[in-house]
Amino acid sequence: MHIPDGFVAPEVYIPSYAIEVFLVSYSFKKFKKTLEDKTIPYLASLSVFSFILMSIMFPIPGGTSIHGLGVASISILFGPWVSFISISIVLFLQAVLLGEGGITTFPINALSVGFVGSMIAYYSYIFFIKILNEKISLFISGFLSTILSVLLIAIVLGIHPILFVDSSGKPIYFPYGFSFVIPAMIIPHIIVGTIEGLLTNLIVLNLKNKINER
Amino acid sequence: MKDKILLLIYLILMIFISSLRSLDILLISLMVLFLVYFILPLKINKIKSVKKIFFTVGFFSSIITFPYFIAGFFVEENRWNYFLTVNLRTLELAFLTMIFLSKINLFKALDFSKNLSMLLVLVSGFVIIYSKTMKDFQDAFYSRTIEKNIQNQELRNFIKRVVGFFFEKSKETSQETYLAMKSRGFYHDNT
Repeated sequence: MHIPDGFVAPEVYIPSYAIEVFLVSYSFKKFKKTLEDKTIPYLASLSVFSFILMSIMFPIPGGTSIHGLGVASISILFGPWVSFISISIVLFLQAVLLGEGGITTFPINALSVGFVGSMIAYYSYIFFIKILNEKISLFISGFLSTILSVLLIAIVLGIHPILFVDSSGKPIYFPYGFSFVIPAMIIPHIIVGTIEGLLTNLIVLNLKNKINER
Repeated sequence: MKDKILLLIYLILMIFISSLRSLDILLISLMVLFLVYFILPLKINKIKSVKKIFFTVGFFSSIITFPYFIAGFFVEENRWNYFLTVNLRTLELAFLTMIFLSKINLFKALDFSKNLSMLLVLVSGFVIIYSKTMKDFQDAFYSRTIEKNIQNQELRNFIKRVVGFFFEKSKETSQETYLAMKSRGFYHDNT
C-alpha cells in the first residue's frame, strides 16, 4: 500500500514502529538460534527473492497490469516468520531507497502485509489443506492473506476520523471512516487477492519439489 | 556518529511535522524546508525530485483529500482548511525525507546493530543486481510476444521460469555470501 506520509497520526505510527521493531528482533533471534552464522545470508537472499516476487507483473483486462505480493508463497514455503522479516526488509528499503510508501506508514504496511499477511497465509493453508485439495488451499491462502492485510490497513486508516479530530470535530489526518474506507479498499483488492492466489498456486507448486530436493 | 545524529534529528522533525495542525506554522516551515532543499548541496537531481514529490502528493490528493474537500460542498461544510493542512503536511514530510535521506548514510546510521546494517547492505546490493536481471527477463519475454495477445500458458511458463531461476540464484547467493562473510572474518569479529 503506497500511502504517503501525512495521513497517519504519530499516535498510531510510533506504537506501530515499536511493535514492528519488537517482532523483527524476536524473529531474528529465533533464526539466529537455529541458523547461527547462516542467518544473515539466508535472510538477505530470501528478502531479495521476495522483492522479485513483488515485481512480477500480471496483465489484467484494460491494458494495465498489477503486481502480486509473494507474501503467501514465501510464508508457505519458508515459514511465516521468515516471510515477515523478508517482507519487512523489502518494504523498508522500498520506503527509504526507492521512495515507495512513506516512512511513517512503513510499520503499518510491514505489520499488515508482512506480519498479518504471512501468518494468515501460513495458518489458513495448514487449515484448508486438511479439508480441500492443494491447489484450492493455496489459492485461498493467497487470497485471504491479501484481503485481510488490506482490511487491517483499512481499519487503521478508518479509525483516524474517530480518534483524531480538531475542536470543531473535523478530521486532522485520514478523513474517511470505516463505512467508506473498508469497501473502498477491499473491493479493488479482490482483483489483487485473486492474482495473489493464482501466483501462490503457481509459485508454491513449482518450487515445492525443488525445496524438498535440498 | 554524524549519520546517527542526522537520523535522530530527522526522526524528531518527522514526528514534529506530522503532529502539526496549524496552517500558519505548516506554511512557514514548508517555506523554510523548500529553501533548505534548494540551498543545500544534495546528491540528487533536485528538479526531477521536486516533480516526483508534487506528482505523488498530487496523486494522493486527487484520490483522498480532494474528493473529501469537494464532498464538503454537498454537506455545506467548509473543508478548505483540512485540504490545505493535510497536503502541506504531506509535502513537507516528503521534502524533509528527501533532504535527510540524501544526507544520511543509512547503513552507517543503523550500524548500532552490525547484523541489521549488514543485512541492509546485502539486500540493497542484491536488489540492484536482481532487478537488472529481472528487467532482462521481462524485456526478453515482451520482445518475443505480442503484448495484447499474451496467452495464459505463455505467462504461466514465463512466471515459472523466472521464479525457478531466481530461487536457484537466491540459494547460490546465500551460500556464496555466507562463505564470503566467513572468509572476511565477519563472524569472528562479531563474537
